[in-house]
Amino acid sequence: MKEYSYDERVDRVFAKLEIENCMGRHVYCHGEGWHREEILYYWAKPDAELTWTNNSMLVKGYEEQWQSYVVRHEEMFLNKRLDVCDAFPHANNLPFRTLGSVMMHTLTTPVIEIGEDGMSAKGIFYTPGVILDVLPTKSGAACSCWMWERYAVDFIKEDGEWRILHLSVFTDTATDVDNEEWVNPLPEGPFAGVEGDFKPPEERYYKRYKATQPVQAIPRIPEKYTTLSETFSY
Amino acid sequence: MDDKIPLSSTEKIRKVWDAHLIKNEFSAYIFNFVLGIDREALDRYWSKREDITLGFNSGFYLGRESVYNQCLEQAGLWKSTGAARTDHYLTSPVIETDREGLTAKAMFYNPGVFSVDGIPYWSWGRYAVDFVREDGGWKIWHLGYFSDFSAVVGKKHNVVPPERQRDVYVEKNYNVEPELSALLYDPRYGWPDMPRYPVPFEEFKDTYSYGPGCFGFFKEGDQ
Repeated sequence: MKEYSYDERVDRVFAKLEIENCMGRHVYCHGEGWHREEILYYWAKPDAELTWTNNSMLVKGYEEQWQSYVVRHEEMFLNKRLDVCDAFPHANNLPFRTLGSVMMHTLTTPVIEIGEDGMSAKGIFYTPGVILDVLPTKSGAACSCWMWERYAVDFIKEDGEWRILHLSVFTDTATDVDNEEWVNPLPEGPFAGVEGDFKPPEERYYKRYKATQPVQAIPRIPEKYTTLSETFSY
Repeated sequence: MDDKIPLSSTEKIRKVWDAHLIKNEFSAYIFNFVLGIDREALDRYWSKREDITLGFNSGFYLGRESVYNQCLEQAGLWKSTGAARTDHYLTSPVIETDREGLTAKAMFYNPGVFSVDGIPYWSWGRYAVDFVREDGGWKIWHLGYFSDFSAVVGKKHNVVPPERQRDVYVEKNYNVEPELSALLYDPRYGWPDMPRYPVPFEEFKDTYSYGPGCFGFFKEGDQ
């Protein structure tokens, strides 16, 4: 194992603080729907090979991520705002950007491992969260769902700042908040089944919790490593 | 950002240690608070400054007596009935200190619960806190608790009794009220933009406060 100098040890413990802050900014941006500033300030720059995945969807590269995470969501928020203002005209005067939605994911249980070279890091977190809407969606009732998930993240250091390179979301539970049987996920709606056209390889699929689902040892827990290119990727 | 002088190892380790102290101090405050805080404990955690503030979705308390009165009123309410209970948890920290280690900003998310009259409610919201260094420790300067929702446990979030559709703690005697009257969850149009998370800053004058005005749409002159 590498012997670190005092300054290197300081850099590593400071990196852990900055990585926690970066990930925290991700969840507050996502919670408010501030996806544009999240991608611009907290994700790797356009020439990096960034990825975003969930149980059934793989988004690869900056352009795909911009379309999926920024453009798609902004269209969704605009349509939601128009629906809300149509139903409640006085809402036109409200300065809310993400009128009618909360997508809050909390961060708990962090495991953060920084590469020996100090230029990348890997982190996993457990995130009990909620997705809430105000008005009915196309699929029916307004979404009022628990989203309990695992985050697995590769970070890289760019121009002295820690940024997200790969973000994988593994959903354990996505169910209505008034569903007493969490083993029964939502049968329909925006969080069911395959989402979009960005399908991952079969081995990347993660299945939600249900009584007959064997335990899935995903994501792999971060281990000590030298450089990001010499270890597994999220 | 680019023209800043890089942090020295001494500055980096101070930021890490200060973030640790702030987490500890604020966690201790929350434990004290939910148990029913008293004036002595308030003195322990709040700054000696006279411009301390306590904020909620629908208004702010300004100054020591106003802030303390509100805290003690809540504590008295919880102590007065065995049925009342509040548990708040701190997750999702973002903590930034200034270059000299004199002021700090922090945000935490609380996926908590409380009960009133035997009815359990979720209490999900974020703490947005400014700290100031005093007597070698970190003290609360501006404290905001901004609720996302407080639905009945086991019910959809939009099944909220009318009396719970506004801030559950406080309804009166604010020193400052926002221009919009319904800032907590409203089943008609949802939630407001919340205060921004902390970002790096050199001095406190370079950043925003979590006192009145942190929503960005208060009446002119309220800040």
